[in-house]
Amino acid sequence: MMPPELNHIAMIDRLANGDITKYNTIYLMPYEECLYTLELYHYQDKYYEQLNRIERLKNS
Amino acid sequence: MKKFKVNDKEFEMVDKIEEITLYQYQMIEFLLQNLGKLVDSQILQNIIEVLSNQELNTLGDMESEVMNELTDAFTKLDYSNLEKFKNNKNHLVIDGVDYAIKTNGDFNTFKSAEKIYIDIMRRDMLKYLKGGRDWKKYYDLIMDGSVGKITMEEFYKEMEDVDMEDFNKFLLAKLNSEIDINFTILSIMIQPGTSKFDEERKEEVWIQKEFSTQNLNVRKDILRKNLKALDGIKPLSFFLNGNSGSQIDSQNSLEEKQKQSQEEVLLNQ
Repeated sequence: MMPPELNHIAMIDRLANGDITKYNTIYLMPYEECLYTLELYHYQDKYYEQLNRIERLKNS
Repeated sequence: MKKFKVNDKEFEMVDKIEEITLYQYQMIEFLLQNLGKLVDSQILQNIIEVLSNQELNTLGDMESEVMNELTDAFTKLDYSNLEKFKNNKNHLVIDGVDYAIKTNGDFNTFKSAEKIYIDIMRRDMLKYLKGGRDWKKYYDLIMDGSVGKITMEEFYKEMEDVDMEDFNKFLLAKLNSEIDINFTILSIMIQPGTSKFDEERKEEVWIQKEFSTQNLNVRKDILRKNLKALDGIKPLSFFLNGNSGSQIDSQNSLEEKQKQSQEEVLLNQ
């Protein structure tokens, strides 16, 4: 499990698409907007995870 | 300000409710909450020290006449009514600098960096109280909510083995950490800003300048010394009411993943 100290950096890194040069832009963005985008990512991840799961089960 | 003398040295004590700083207000709240634990005269002396901007227990012995006079002045402050007078300003001036205040309706204007900074400072404070010295037991009892789950009898039994001096040190460290985190929050809620006339609202609005971490500690000190309680309670109450925004619950999503993988194993069997 990821140490809690890294949670915030993980959040910023995800929003900056892994590009450290974009961190500052994200830091100055409204927090609420970032949360909505993260929520969207969360549901997208869940959806793709389900798809992969179904694929894996089909192939097994 | 009320002037008084102790050992031929002159001091000034706040004697108007509008003059109390937020720092003084928080210290007095703590002292009044601990009325049962400390001797009354010691508390009064400490309150006078706080209102005179002196360190605790440094003023020395006071003549009973002076003490009575100052106690009267404190009683007349109508301190308990402070809540009623708090205002909802969006601008204040300290040392010639204009500050814009985020009000309760401004949560959507928080920048990521501002919210993250507050979260990190809060986490560090809890870590300090939990790990500092031998305070884990007090932390569990007072901060972790265990005190609400046990009866008063059990609480007193727990406290029998506690060294009161050490416990008071923990309470003081807790207070100082809380005050520090409150001023961290305020250094973000109150930042230098500029005014603009809003055509739609037909009023002057105050907008904070671009956020920078450069002056946060300096601003914390400025606010600690100058911010009046009447101006500071409102922006702080937004955070103290427990509305700290949402956070990603990584634990929940982990549990969800574990549950899914278990289901997967079952399906594969």
